[in-house]
Amino acid sequence: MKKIISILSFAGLSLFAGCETIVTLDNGVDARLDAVMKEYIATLASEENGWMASVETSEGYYRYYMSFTDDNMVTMYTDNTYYPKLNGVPKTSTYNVRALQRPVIAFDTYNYIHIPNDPNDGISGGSDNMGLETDFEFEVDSLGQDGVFYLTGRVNRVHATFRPATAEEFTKVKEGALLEVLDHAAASTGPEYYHLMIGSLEVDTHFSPRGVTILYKNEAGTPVLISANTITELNYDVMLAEPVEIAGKKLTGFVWDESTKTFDAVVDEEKTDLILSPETAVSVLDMLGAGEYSTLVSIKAMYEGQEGNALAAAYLSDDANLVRGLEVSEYEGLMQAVVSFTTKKEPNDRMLMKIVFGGGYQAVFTFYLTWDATDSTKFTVGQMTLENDPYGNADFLQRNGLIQFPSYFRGKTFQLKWSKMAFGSYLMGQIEQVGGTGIYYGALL
Amino acid sequence: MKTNKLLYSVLALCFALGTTSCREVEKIDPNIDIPGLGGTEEIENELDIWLKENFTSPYNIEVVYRWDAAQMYTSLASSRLVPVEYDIVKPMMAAIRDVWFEPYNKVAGPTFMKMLSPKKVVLVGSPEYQFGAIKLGQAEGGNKILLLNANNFDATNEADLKQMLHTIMHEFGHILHQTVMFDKSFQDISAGYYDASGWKEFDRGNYRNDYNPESWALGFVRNYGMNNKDDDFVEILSMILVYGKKWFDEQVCEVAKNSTTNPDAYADLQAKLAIVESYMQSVWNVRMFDDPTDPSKKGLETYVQQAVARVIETPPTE
Repeated sequence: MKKIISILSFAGLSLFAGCETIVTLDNGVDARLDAVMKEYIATLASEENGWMASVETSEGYYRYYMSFTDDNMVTMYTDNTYYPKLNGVPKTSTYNVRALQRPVIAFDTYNYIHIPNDPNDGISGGSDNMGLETDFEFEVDSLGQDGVFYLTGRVNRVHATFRPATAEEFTKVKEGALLEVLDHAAASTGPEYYHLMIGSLEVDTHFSPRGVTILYKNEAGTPVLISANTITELNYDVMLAEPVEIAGKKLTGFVWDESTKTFDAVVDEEKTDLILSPETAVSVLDMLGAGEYSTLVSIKAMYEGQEGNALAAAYLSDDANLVRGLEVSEYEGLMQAVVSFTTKKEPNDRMLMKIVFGGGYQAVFTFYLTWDATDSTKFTVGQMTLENDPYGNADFLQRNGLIQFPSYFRGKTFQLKWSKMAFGSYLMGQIEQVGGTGIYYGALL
Repeated sequence: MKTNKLLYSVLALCFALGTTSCREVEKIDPNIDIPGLGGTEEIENELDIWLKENFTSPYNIEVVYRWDAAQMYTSLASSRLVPVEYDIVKPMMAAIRDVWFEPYNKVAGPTFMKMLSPKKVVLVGSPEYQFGAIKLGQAEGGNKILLLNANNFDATNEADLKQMLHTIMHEFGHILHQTVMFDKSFQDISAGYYDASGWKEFDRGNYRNDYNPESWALGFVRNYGMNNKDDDFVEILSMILVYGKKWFDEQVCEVAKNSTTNPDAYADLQAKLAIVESYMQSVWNVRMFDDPTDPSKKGLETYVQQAVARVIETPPTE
């Protein structure tokens, strides 16, 4: 009987005792993700000197200084060249780290990082309401041993990095260094041009605020152009976002020596001089020459705020009567005044100028040129004709005085040069009047 | 032997039941922490507390101002959107409270907005650019109102304030008729003029809400009313509340009376307004206009006009 009772007791216990399961989520997927996100917030908030952020856009890398708190607030500084008044001015908004497909650092109320994303083209500087094709939510690819967040934008998949800033950098940011450093490399040339030697190859470097254009001639003498995005550190070092290979060597950036006030290029991890010279290996004419069909495209915005340029002041500035008179569109008025040049050595030496307003080109003037026999960069403008007038605008041009602009070039001698004028990341050339003050500059496109 | 067989059978049955019963009875650890339950965690800030006191507690409305793409894109739009400015949320929502909620509270009593207000107001900083037009708002099933272009809000700018209020009143109008539909006869009055793609062709280039003379001449208060009968209905409601009965009588109706494109434009407008007015009174007990026989009985239009004037002069900060 005792045996039976024991067996039944065991059976009863097995019926009830094994039924109670305590459910916990320790080390589950959600718990692990939650721990990682909390770690990211703690890491971002714990850097007392904040972070230097580099975010890719269609105009190159924008830089921000960011200081995070653990209550989801972030304070930013920006290097946005469209808004120089914002330089050195902090702005606070909210952020969070979220569990989406991956852990995501999201800047979830408007701050400086949203300006290049803004669908209003007038705010972002972008086109087609797409901003500068960048992002404000970033998947965390990794938090490296070097303390750097490596990130990818959620929408446009842009690259971004957040690295801890130093106390010195934070001080400089507050003083406006983020924007100031962007012009340093280009401004440090004075009237000359930088180049470096890779073996016997002379390589020109033209700096712009967020990039560098590298030009050299290959063995066949054909110009080679490489455009590279750069990130300018607050100590003026200009580092390439991606290394560039030239003649089998790897160029990674340009480091500034404050004591000698010179740059060294870093080629295969070795420093080599960046040399200043009045000449360049590749001339503007090399880029515009026979069969190239490259143009110097100039838009009104290039001239805004530029003083001391008689040609611009007379014809393309906001103050010019010429521009004010161009109320050509019933609804929109003058959108922009654009002129583009094309020089052709063959079959005839000539220069074309397209006059563009109201959204499309309205006339093409042709200038016949005589090149200087001793200096291939100089030419004299002879006859001017309006051969191409697709919309019959000759009368309109005459009536509104627009004919004055192309007429300006007649009978004068000009020199074709690289321009020191910076406009975005464009490689800029110019036509400068010899013995005069007129300068027409534009982007090589 | 029989006893043993019986015992073993009972034992086997108990094991089987024991195994089965374990699937059915689980105890959740009372101290369990389930990460992410309830959504993303955010530290409550001063703005969150203010929104809770002014919208969540009295009206059970959640104001979503932090970026959440899933709630903000209305379609696979071709343009980008950006979040709202943190510092703009409070003055904007304070103005919305004063020009939207308060007039309805005065004319319909405190429970009306609690009953019918959307449960979620979502703020987006930019407008949504679509095929040459911009979208400023959207209502979804009576539950949510999406307000775009919040970053351009300026309560002291009459045109801006009225444009935003018009968007809200328009979307709220959809919530009303999605809850109780208006009289079917409404859709017959301007039948033949509704065109979901062609409405943009009228008053093209007139960016002011309150100046659409081509549409007035066809019997509509605004070109978007030609999109469909529902938009026509809520346009009449929202435009007259926001821009005033005086504006409607002196500008819209005057053009409609002299219309050569639709000789019935004026009659159509009056017939549609009569249905809107009747609907608001009979369905929601909301008087649209002042009672001419009893000046103490103010209409919703008067309260809205007074609130707008007050906010423009002294924008609320709290």
